[in-house]
Amino acid sequence: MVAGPITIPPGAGSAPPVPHAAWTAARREILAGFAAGEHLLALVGPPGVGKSRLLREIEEALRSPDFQVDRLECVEWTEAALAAQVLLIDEADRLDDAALEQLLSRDTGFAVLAGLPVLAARLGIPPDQVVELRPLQPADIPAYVAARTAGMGLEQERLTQESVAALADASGRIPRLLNLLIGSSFLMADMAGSRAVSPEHVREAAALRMDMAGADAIPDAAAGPEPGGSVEQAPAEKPVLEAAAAPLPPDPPPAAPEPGGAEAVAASPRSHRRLLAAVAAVVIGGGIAWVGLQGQVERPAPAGSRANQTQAATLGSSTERSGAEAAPAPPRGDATPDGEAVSMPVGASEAPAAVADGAGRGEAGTVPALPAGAMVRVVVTYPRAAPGAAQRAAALSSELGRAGLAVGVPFPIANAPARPVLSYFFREDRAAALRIQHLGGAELVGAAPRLSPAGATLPRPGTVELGLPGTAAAPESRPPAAQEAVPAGPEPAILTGPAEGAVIRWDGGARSLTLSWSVPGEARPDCCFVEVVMPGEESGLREVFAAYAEAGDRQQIGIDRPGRYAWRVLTVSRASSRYTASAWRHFTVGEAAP
Amino acid sequence: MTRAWSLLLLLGVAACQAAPAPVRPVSRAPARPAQAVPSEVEGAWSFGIAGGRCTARVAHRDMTLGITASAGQPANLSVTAPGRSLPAGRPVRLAFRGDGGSWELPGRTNGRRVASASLPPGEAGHGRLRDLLGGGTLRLRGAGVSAPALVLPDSGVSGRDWYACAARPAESAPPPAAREPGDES
Repeated sequence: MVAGPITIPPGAGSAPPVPHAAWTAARREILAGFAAGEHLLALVGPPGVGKSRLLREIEEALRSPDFQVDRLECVEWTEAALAAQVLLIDEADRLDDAALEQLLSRDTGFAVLAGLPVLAARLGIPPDQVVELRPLQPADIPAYVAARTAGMGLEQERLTQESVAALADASGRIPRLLNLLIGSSFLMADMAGSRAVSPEHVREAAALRMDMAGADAIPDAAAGPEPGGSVEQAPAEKPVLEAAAAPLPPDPPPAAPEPGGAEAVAASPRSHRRLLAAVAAVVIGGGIAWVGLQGQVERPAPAGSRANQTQAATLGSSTERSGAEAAPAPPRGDATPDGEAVSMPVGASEAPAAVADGAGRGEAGTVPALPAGAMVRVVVTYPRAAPGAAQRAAALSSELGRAGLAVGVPFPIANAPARPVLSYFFREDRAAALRIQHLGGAELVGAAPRLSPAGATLPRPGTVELGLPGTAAAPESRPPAAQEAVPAGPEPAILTGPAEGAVIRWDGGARSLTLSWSVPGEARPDCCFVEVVMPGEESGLREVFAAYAEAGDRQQIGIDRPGRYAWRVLTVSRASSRYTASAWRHFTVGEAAP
Repeated sequence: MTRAWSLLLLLGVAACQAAPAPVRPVSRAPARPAQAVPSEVEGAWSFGIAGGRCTARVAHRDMTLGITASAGQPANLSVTAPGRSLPAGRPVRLAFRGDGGSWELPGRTNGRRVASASLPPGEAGHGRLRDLLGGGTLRLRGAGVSAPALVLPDSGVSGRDWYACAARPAESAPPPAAREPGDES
């Protein structure tokens, strides 16, 4: 049987973050603080709400070859860390007063200290320097659960609206608890031989957790994070749910039989429940441990040395991501060689963590994860008439393709640049361009990515163009341009129809379906790029539709086969060269009942 | 004598008739100058993927070129010229001239006066697709055709990106953007 609590590293075993309103708001607030020149912010929230995840996300967003970004946990704290221009400290509430004092006295750079709500009080900073990461909002729960179930390879159809509501209630809308309850609820249903995951299964999973942990482990759903209140816990007192999710040895010894044997177990509901708890703990713990190991492999080293940054800039090391939100202005005094904003969110245009590592692709039986950011596409051009240019372009395309990038057939053009040029068209895609530069090796060394005008036809979000010259030439060394303020990005679209999880009748022939959404402000015809994909077990994501919408708030698409579909809208601003991806929504086109 | 009286009577009757209104020149509204038919119109590109097919359009109100490509299949071109004269059910030729090259394709209009043609399969077709994306002028030729020439601007990076979809081989059924989970697209 499972004994006492087993602690696991924070974040280990958890899946990539799914952006939700509270997460997005906190992320935007931190990046805005960075852009505004704040020196220190506190990121506070209850356990399991995603502070560590968000801190990693911020690290990704602020990563730049031009300054040092360090992310560390409190146990890694040394005074030497004060030298980092951008310093991100997790579990900072565990730092002693002297360390906090040193951090407060820094009058340069940027620091984010993440911790439980008591941290804000200890720092004694004004409220505008405190960013609160709140639990999921009720409206975000269905999309969040859908994304999580898809990420776990579970069938979302097995969940009813009532069971989703039960999950929200039982988890207190705390993402970590919700993640674990999703898995354990499915397990409960499986153990009961039920295809549908009912609210009862959810409650049973929650009860098991309470059995193991004690009722006080479930946070008050309505309370959310309490400033300095009851959620303040020492690390050793993390929610006991983690115990159920703890990594276990690969071959755990068989559980010792209860006194009385199986009959006694069967006769006692309580004992039966504990047995179920043990099985659940083993299964969930094993799964979480596996995912955690994957995460450890992919996760960049916490300290942000230049070497680490370079390594982390490769595709293989990309990790948790979220949607494309605010891109901050460059820090004062720092600029990329091309003078553009240095601090671009990278999550927008990166592959999902589960598939970022080339070695991890195509896991049997898994449904490919849906990317949070735009789907990066590399366009390689070369001069039409230059001898050997086509071969160089093909070789480079192959190289990028082997790294897991989607690279189109090299395209010959008449007016090729004199030197290699790496262009991106939306600020969110800068990080992807940097990775491409890194992967391009000698061909692209020094070809600093640059934000290029979109031209007459707005490119698809995620497009990066690599223009090769006629002959191998040293990239142009451009002086840093004047810094400019990074304009705000567009607001995300609110998807209105079809509803999440909707089932659309399929009568055997092609049919049309209207997707609808709303965007804040006036809807422009070119405001929105619509993506509809069909996750497939073998072939990855099949693009069913991808185009700028013909209307600002709806798009008709053709459906020619039954199956499960995911769709989203990326709101695009030509003026600010930015885009923001909505969360994915799902619908199923099913055969008509006989 | 009688004849003389008859003649006088007729003359008298005729004299009693109202004098005919003076003939005035017919006043007509000035004729509208015939709407100038531009010899060339410039379209705007748009691209998309729908139902697993790669679609592109160069649209102008007087003439639109549509391109549809599927994996491993020759791309199809269709030309409409709303309000212009395209014959129905007649052979036409689509003539393109651009930086990348000049060529003609045989095509045909259907009953709805939409002209269509297929690009050749394989690399030859891909080359012509690249020509179109690189910009130039497309003319429709044939008996009864009075459509303007359609100027295709350089499609830019959007077109070059779309070309990856249009030129993908047959075996990669999904667009290259999403070949497999490892892809970022």
